[in-house]
Amino acid sequence: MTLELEAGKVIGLVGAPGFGLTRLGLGLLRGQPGWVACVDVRGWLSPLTLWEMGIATDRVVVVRCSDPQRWPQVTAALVEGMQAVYAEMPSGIAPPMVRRLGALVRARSTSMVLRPVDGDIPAGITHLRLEAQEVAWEGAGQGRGRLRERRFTLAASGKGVGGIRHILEVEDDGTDTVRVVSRLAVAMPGRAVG
Amino acid sequence: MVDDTNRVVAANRAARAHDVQVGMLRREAEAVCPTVVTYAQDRGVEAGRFEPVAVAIESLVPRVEMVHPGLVFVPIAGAVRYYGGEAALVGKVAKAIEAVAGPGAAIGVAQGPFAARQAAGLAEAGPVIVTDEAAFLASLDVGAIGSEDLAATFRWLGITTLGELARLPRAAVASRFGTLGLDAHRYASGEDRATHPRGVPEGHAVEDKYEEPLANLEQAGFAARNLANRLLEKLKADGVAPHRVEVEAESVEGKVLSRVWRSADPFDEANLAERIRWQLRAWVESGGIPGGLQRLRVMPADLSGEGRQLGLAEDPVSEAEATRALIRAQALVGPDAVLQARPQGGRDPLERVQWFRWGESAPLPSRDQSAPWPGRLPAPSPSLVPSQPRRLGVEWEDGLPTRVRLRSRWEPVLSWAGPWRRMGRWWEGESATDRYQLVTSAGAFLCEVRGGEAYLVGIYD
Repeated sequence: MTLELEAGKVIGLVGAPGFGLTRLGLGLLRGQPGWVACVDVRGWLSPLTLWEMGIATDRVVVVRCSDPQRWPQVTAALVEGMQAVYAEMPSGIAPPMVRRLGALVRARSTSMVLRPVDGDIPAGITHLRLEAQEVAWEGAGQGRGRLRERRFTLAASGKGVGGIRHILEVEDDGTDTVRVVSRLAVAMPGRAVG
Repeated sequence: MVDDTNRVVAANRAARAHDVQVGMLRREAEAVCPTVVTYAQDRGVEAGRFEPVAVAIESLVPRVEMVHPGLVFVPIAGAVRYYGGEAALVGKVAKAIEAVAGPGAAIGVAQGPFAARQAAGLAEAGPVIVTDEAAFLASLDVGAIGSEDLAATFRWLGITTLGELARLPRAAVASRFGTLGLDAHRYASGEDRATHPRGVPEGHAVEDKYEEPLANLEQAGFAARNLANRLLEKLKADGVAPHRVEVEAESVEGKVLSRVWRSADPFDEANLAERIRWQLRAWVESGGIPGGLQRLRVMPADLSGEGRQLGLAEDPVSEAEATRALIRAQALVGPDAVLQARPQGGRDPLERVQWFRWGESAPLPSRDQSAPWPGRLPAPSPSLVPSQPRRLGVEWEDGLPTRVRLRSRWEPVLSWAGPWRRMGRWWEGESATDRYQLVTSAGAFLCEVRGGEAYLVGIYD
């Protein structure tokens, strides 16, 4: 299984910084035709990650917007014109605003990755919701080596996985961020999994 | 004459008399005319052979524009007045060509280059001078637009002549057949770029001077490629590409030669380099550059915005939409917050990115990427890099990191790598900094220790 952007669908990435979601989200932009926009809330996004993943940035524009008042307008404008948008979401955006954005994504057939800087995404917007669970790095010892690769687990939910909660294990050796190595359906309490 | 796909690209009169046609396979040509002799096409040689013809025309009418060896456009508005009529001028030109290349030149005269080209195509028996351009175009077969596929579609729709095509509403043609259709409709309606030379913007010209004069064609080929690349890069920054370039060469003895080349589609690098090379070869072979080449200059003319190369999956509509969206974003957050990035040299993640405003041309990198950067951090790089280093609580034991404070919680350091030491500008009193990669169960972080304080400089998110 590979994770892929789909036109008119929102992939939500939920979790604290450090669990590997930024790299995952940016990696999803690989191979997108046309212009791609990244909404950067803190001004922290580093294009080095894109270059290291082999994604050319001559058609990638980073839009910095830390103001939660302006964020919905800026993001909506980008969703309207771009083929794909990776948007960080500041805290304090009203859920109806986010829902309207989701409707716009569907209407314009844009591909979108939504990554709240803090907290969660309101329900009913994401086609696939990925929540960070664990991360483990390899390569560093006690003062030796260097960071090389990591494995992280994500809890996937939403229509993108057929409505059944899955645990995905993702391996990232710096070249291919979205390689899912194992995938496990998890039974929700009181529901049978067939 | 066959090209490298073994198709006939040119045939002389004798061969044509035996039904050898341009576009045939070599084998077909040999079948219809067993005695035919085929040669592989070499544009460079052709350019050399054609040069006397170009010079002969140039001696009568200045500013000859080459399309490829064998086809030139000549703006004759002024010359017609000077020589007293189109027929007189055409007669003189034909005679001049005959003197250097023998009979057989096909000359067409019309208002626009497209019509003139078509007229020349019909000038088998003698020069064709088109007086009523609209009627002439209307009578042409729809195949004249150049694209066989499109022409076949038009024929299938019952449109057999350019006149019928021109009568269709342009918007409908454009929406059904895209830019190709739009161009075809333009040509059919007689709207064409005029051949009148326009002022060449000075700033766009590129020039190379060679201290060691270029003596052989191989060197000239490299020089041509280099100049073509520089010119197009320069123009690309402005989002334009040339339909016409003027190539100017100066020999060691100070003789300056120049020639204009034109193309219906904007030049790309390979095309342009090829034409510069042909031209140089032609001049060299005709003995025009005695002693070698000491200066080469390429000036663009007829710049057009359609030159920006669109990728396979791109279309002009989505380009325009993206541009609109970004302009809107710029209006909302300011031009300093709508950015593009380019890699440059450096040791720290922050240093290695050069930001520039979207819509402006990328500045020259201030730090060389290929230079060695001792103390540079290895890949993978952190994907989140705070614009200002932030204080980070790190607990040390015997100089080894043990715990790190993340979001009001202390996380044990599971493993760590480093330090990568970076010497500061000690001559300015800056102290050295050590960078560590710290791994916790909540992710890996890049931390910088400077003057006994730890700072967060990157998150491997």
